[in-house]
Amino acid sequence: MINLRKILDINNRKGEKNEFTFELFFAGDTPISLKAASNAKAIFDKYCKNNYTMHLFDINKNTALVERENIIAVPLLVRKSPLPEIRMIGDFSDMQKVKNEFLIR
Amino acid sequence: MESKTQNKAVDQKRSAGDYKLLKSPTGIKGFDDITFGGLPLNRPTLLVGSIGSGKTFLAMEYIINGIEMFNEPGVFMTFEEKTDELLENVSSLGYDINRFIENKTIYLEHLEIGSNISKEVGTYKIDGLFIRLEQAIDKVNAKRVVLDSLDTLFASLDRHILRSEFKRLFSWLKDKKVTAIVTAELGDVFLTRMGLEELIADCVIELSNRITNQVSTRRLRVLKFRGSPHALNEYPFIIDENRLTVFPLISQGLQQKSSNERISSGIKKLDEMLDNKGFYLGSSILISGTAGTGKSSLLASFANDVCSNNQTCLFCAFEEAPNQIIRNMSSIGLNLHPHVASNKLQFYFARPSLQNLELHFMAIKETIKSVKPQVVVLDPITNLMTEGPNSDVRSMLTRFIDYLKTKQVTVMFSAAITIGSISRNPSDEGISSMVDTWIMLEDLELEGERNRSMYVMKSRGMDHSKEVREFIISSSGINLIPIARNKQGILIGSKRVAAEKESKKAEKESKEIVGKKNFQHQFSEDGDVQ
Repeated sequence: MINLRKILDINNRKGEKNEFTFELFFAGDTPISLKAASNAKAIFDKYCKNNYTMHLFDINKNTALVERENIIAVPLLVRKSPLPEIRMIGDFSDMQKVKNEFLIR
Repeated sequence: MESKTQNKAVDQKRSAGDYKLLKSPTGIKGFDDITFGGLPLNRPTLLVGSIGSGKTFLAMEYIINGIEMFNEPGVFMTFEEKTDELLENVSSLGYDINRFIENKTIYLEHLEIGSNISKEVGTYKIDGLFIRLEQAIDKVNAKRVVLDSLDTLFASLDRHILRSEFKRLFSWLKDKKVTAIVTAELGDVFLTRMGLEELIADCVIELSNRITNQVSTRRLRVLKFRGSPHALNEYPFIIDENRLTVFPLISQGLQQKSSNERISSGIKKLDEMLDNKGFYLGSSILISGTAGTGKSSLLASFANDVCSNNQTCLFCAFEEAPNQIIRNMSSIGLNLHPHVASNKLQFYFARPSLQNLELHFMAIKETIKSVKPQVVVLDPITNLMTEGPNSDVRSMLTRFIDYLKTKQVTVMFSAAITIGSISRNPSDEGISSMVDTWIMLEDLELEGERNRSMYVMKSRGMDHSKEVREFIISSSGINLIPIARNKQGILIGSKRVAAEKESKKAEKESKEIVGKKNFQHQFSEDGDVQ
């Protein structure tokens, strides 16, 4: 088993208010999940370093999330702030597309 | 994948000892007959149809029947309607769905697609759906699952990935040991818009809604049922407040009972022609004849007799309003008023063009259910023929007669025919084959006078009379008189009256000679015979 959190080393700085908040929902530590998480991290690190928070949720471990967040397909990346909420699914391999979608203020 | 399922089927065959695939009964009237038991157990079934063809309803019926009849909880997952909308729609059709929700035998869930996926980059999995399905199945311990409709997902997701994901979903459903119905829209190129039929290979059912002569009829067909025989035809079905019913021709015929009991035709002389006993109880009787030969009178006379014997008769009138029938029949000495007052005689009156045939058929069936008549009279069925192609009317009538036979209800119906159509086409409108007794009314034209005549064309299972009788309708009712002959030919109508007069006169005369009575008295008596 791969621990996504460890590999990605996502350190969300506490107490500080970042401009972007993302939530990434994935199902199990699968290659697709890993790819999606690392791609997302790479994009955000590149374009809004130190100005974002990303939370990871494994829907297999926290199944209640599925209904609450109305999740059908994963990996799902949600921009929680700033509003409006933006959702995108996939492994986020197209960096430019993700950037255009998520990082427009 | 395919070989795996086939192996499974073989295993089931062997373990079952016979050559039957295990089925999950739907409880839908007629449907289990044409599929010989229901849907394939623990496998997904694809339900495909155009907009408004009744997919959602059939699927819902499957779930509800599962709870009500087979004690199998179900999950209904909708991608289209909101849960409360669905609840409303389904409740309006007579289901007490809230009760099932409360006692946790049904679980409804709406998966909203619209806000769910806005963009898509790269590959993905639909594990979210899996988890939700699993949660739903576990919540009620479901044995039956409906996904309505998966097509909606294709609107926003990459179809190649989705198709492979669906493949995974269907095999997952098999592993979960649930019987699933997956609905999909009818497509242009493929059967379904997204080619789902390639993914679900076990059972495919198609619903359609076709319009012929401006009347629409819902139809159902089993396109494929792997490892099982199934009926191949298209069967009409209806959805009403009493649920969904498929009308297979094959199913009802098997359950018919044949009674040896007899029922009087209401006319003594006609009973004489029918083995001296009348019709068989629960048989079908066709009265055909050209206009004005007295079909309706014969029908009314039968109805009157049935009611007089304290039985109930349903009179289905497609031509005259009940009041008019009652008035007209009083002119031939049939007083129907008391029967109407005592509810022995009930009317179903509708213009054929009011609604489509299936609905007429259903409305009559409903009336039959509430009235529980021993006899049903249809006057005339030929009026229904204007309301759809003849083949449709015929199959409807066949089903209707089959239905009545299973209920042991005697049915008499009239058919108006055109002059000479019988000699041209002896199997009158193709309906003669489905009737047990066929009575012909004919106008005999002789020397500038038309007289009604009647004969029994056929009557199954009895030694019926082959003679043609004169059929007389007078203010005192209906009478049948054997047609006499003399040297001048057949005696009918005024000729008969004249001959009767003659013979009476001759009789009187011979009596006169013997009794030596005076001539004057005999003349005055002659005057009475008229």
